Formats: sequence, C-alpha cells, structure tokens
Amino acid sequence: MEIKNIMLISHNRGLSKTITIIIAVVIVVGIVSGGLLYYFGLPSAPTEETIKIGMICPFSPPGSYTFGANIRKSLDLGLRVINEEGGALGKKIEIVYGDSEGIPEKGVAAAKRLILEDEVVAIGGVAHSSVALSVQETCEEYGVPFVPSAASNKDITAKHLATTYRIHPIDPGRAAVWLEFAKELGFNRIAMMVENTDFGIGLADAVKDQKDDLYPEAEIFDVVFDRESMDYTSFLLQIDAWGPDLIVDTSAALTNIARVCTQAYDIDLYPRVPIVCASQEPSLPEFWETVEGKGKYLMFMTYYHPAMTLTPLGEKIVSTYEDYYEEEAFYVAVAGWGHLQLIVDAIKLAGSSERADILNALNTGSFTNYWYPAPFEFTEGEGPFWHQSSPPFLMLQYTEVNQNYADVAILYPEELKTQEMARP
Amino acid sequence: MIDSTLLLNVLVNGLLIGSIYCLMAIGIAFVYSVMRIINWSMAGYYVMGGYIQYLLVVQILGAQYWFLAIPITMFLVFLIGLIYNRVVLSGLYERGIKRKFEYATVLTIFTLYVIENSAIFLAGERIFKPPEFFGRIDFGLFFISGSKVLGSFGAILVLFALSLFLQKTWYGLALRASSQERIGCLSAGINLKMLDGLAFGLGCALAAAAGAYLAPTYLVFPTAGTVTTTKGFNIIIIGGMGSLKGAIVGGLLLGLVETFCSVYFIPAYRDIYGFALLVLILIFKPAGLFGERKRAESIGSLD
Repeated sequence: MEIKNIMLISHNRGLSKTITIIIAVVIVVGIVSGGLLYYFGLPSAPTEETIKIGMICPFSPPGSYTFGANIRKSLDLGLRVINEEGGALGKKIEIVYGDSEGIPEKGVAAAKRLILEDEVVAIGGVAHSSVALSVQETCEEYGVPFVPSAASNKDITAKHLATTYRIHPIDPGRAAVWLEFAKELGFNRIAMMVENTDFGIGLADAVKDQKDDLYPEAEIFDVVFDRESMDYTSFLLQIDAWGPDLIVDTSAALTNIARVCTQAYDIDLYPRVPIVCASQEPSLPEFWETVEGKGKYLMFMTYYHPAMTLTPLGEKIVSTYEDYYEEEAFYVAVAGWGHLQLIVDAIKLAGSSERADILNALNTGSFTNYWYPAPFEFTEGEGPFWHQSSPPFLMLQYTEVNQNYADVAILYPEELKTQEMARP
Repeated sequence: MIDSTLLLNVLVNGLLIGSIYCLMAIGIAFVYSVMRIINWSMAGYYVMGGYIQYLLVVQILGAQYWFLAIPITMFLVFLIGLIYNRVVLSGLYERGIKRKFEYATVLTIFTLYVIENSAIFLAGERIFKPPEFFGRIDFGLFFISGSKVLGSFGAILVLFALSLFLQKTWYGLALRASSQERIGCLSAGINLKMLDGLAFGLGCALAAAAGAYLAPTYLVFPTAGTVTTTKGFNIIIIGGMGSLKGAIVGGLLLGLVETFCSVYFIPAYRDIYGFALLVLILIFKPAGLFGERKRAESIGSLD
C-alpha cells in the first residue's frame, strides 16, 4: 500500500529518474568496457597472417591478478622484441590472452576458446597449479602444446602427458632445499603454514615424503589454512605454542605472504623464529609497501637474481626489461618472456606452426632459456621429471628494510652464497 | 593442559577481531531492518573504505591523521551509498515492484562486481597498505597488534555513536519506527524514501569504517571485503536478522569461537567452526539469538 502512495507523490519525477538511470548505466558500461579494453587490448583488424599463441593468466580476482599483470608486462615486451626481430617463419607472433581468474573451470573455458575459436598453436601462462592441472587435460585432448609457468605442483608433469612441458621448478626440489637448509642450520622443529591449494598441499606432501631420507631427525608440524583467510593470528599462536625453530609459509599470493609475515611479527613470533616463503612473490616490487618494516629477515625462494650467470638470452631479457619499464627485473619479469621464447623457439625449430610439429620439436630439440646449464632437452624422465627442466633454486633473505632486490642476501646455493642467514 | 597465557591471548584476539566483524554485521542488519533488503554489495563498500582511507592517509592528510581520515572516509562512502540508493534502489519502492527483494539482490550483487572491477581499473592490480595506526603493544605476557587494538576501539566508538544517534535524535527515532512499522510511519507523514537513503548510506558507511580500520592489518585490494562480508552475513543470522544487539553479540561470539577452536582444535576448520555455530543457533533458536520469531509486518527491528 505504501508503495502506491509513494508512487503518487513521485509520479512527476518519473522522466528525470529514467534519465538518471540511463546515465548511470552508461557510466557503468563505460567503466566495465574500459576495464576490458585495458586488459585485453583494442581489437585490431587482421592485416596479416600471424602465428597465435594462447596465454591463460589470472587477470581477475580471486586469482593472483598481481601475477597476471606482472607476467603480462613481460610477455608483451617479449612479444614486441620477438616481432621486431622478425617473428617466426616469416610471420608475426600474436598473443591471445585468456583470463582464468585462478579458477580451474574458467581456465578450461579459456583454453577451449583459444584452441577452437582462436586456433592458437600452443598455450602458456596459467600460474595456479590447480588451473594448470585442469587446462593440461584440455590441451592433451586437442593435441596442443602446453607450457605452464609458475605452476609447481609435481603432478603437472608426473601425469606424463604428451603435450605438457614445464620450465618451472617443482615441489620435490623445493622441499629438498628447505630440508637441507634446515639440517645445515640445526632447525629440527619445522612448522608449515599450508595453503589449501594444489600449490600448498603439494609442497607439504613433498616435504613429508622426503623428510625420512633427507632429514629424519626433523619434526614437522603443519597447519592448513584457507587461501581466502585474512587473519592468521590463531594459526600463528598455535604454531608458537608448538615451539618451532623454522616456519615454512606455503602461501602463494603476496597478500597472504604479507599478512602471515606482519601478523607473525605483531605477536612476536617472527623474526624471533625465521620464516621462509615458498613463493617468489616477495621479490615483487610492491613487497615492501605491503609489509612496511616488518619484512626484514624474511627468506624466500626464487629462480632469478642479478648475481646469477645468465645466458645471452637471459641478459637480453633483463636489460631490455629494466630499460623499458625502469624497474628491477625479478623472476616473473624474466620467466614470462622466457616461456614465450621457448614456444617461439620450438616453432622455429619445427619449421612449421602445426601443433604436432611443435610437439615433435619440443620432444627432440635442444633449447636455451635464461639460465645455465644450457642447452637443455625435455626428456621422458621418471615421476615429475617428465618433460621437466627448470632454472636453479635460490634462497634469498632481506637483511635491510626497503632493500633493493639486487642487494638481497643469497643463502643458497653455495656457489652464489653471499652470507649466512641473518637473525635479529 | 591449557596454557593460561595462550588462552588469554586467544580471548583478547577473538574479541578484537569480533568487534570489527560487528561493524560489517551491523551495516547489513541496519539496511535490512529498515529497507527489508539485503545489501550484497557490502564487500564493495568495505573495499571502498580501504581505498579512500589509503588515499587520504598516504596522499592527502598524512599518516599521523589516520583518525581524521576514518570519519571522512565514512562520510564519503555514506554519500556514495545515498546516491546509489537514490539512483538505483529507490525505484524499486516507487514503482510498485512486487519482488523488490529479489531485484535488490540482483542489483546489489551486480554492484559488487562493478565496484571490484572498477577498483582494478582505477587503482591497478597493486596491493595497498596504509601505515599502521600504532606499533605492536607489549602486554607483558604477550604482544598484540596496535592497529587491531585501535581498530577495535574505533569500532566500539562508531557503534556507540550510532547508538546515540538512534536513541537521541529524531532521525534515529524515525529509523527505529520504520524498522518496526513502515505503513505506520508513512501515515504519520514520515518520508520513508529519505529514511531508506539514510539507512542505506549509514550501512555503507559502517562497512567503509570496517574497511578503513582493517586496511593496515589486512591490506587493500579489490576482493579484500569478501571474507569480512561473509562473516557479517554469518553474524546477522547468529544474532537475529535486523537486530543490532544481535549483531554485536553475534560478532563477538563468532570472533571468539573461530579463534578459540582454531587454536585448540584443528586450525584448518576455522570457518567450519563459525558455520557450526550458525547451524547450532538455527537448530535451537531459529530466529537467531535476538531475532523476533513472529511479527505481522517485520522480522527485525533496531533494538
């Protein structure tokens, strides 16, 4: 009844209301369209035949869109340089992006669109292990070469799929480095913050699998948490009550890493007890803004550092990236272009842009990326070492607040080590 | 054997986090009790609060004036909520739409996506962190985050101010009246459209306050409000739909249950403990702790 009364009172405002709604809709559509154009670029008229490569990345929440944005910068720059140098087989390379949102189903949908509509010759990108584990099945079904980046779950290559090739480190290697590191420093009570993703669970399983062989004296205590968690205090209090010597944080995204680090600091758990992060995200340029001064002494694993000896391609990627974007290169900045380069090199080696020929080239060829030892080949190794090659592991530590990436202490491997682990 | 220091630490942390949950829950309950709709875009206003707080503290006012930035943030988001309600939602009431609850649900869910994606478009993919309000505090037996403590006190202050507004002003009286009997208010000459706008704006401002208070601890990024909003919805069911008292008690209870159970039982099930609490409440008190079981026209009121 009151609705009808209000209608009578406001009857004469109907027209202005409609206009207001139309304006609001136009604004909303403008913002959304602008956002889509920003991410996916302006559609351009096809002027020449190109070789299309699909890149599925998390560009939207709940995926790690910071990763998506960073790898896209690297991919776009790599594409530009590759095309300036003539592309491949006399044709320009074109990247067609798909947004996985960090969700396996969305990743599969994007893969099908790239394969069936865009007819890409290969697919890369991905980031999330859970997305890679799903997308690789689609690629296998259609015979499309799949080169996931930053997806480290061992099952991705342990499935022994004919179309999956990986040049990113895998869980068992990373777990072995932690166990050796803990053993060397006498840390025998290791607490693990385990993110409930394929990334986190895979890492925790890898540590448990290798503990008896590599460091049987170690005691492992794991706390599983949801990747959507915001407050970690209760988890950290439980870990503190257990009395760890070392905490391994398997959070994948910078938001979670920063919150674990700062909340552990706030309850005086860290840096009293050292934390080592599984993810390379602390190397991102925005790391210090997310932790303020609380990131000092944080350790993390990554696969690129300026102190590494790089191949000529690696040196070109780093110098071009730093000149173009005027910021220090970090792992994702180097790896994005590196992944694109691998696919382009396989096309050149195949002398064809047919998917089967590219797969054959990946199986039989030798490739050089940004790291040594080079060249490497994709062999049909055992377990997760099937079609697997990766840059070396590095364990780094911030020893000063707002420290530049180039000045970060290297704790592992021995040949690059700059100092012992620092403690307050 | 339970360590008494750990237990005390758990209790304090549970209460701190619970008190900030309350802000979000009250924002939802407030809109529901007056307008009879659920604002599913609360996470968006939470995020807006975080971004505006960051902008004010880092770019305009300076870190030392964080306490000024919070009321300014609340006021700005209140205005945005007011305008949103006027442009988008008020039509549901004016045009005799029968299923306004369903329409409001769709509109506010869509709004959430627009806000989150606009945040990425306008602020980029970066993660922001306003400076801490205060360093960690040494309580002798344990340390605790100063920002969380101040955020919790701030939340209590905001709730106290809201309570005064509701109890001591004509607008507060009108809002309480409309939450109990809309038709009666209309026949008494009260402008319900204005009250709806006020309620919606205040609800958004409370979500923004939660976003601003939690920004230094939980960071600012487009989907930062999702978890807190989910907790808010959980709390209003525990406390009783539309009950402000229920929102406060439910918020503190949820904070305590989650923290206590995740320390003393299996931590991975923290969200399940909150859900189990919700299910228990629904079994034994289906209308929530302070919800009203039967009423001719309304389900909740601003008690």
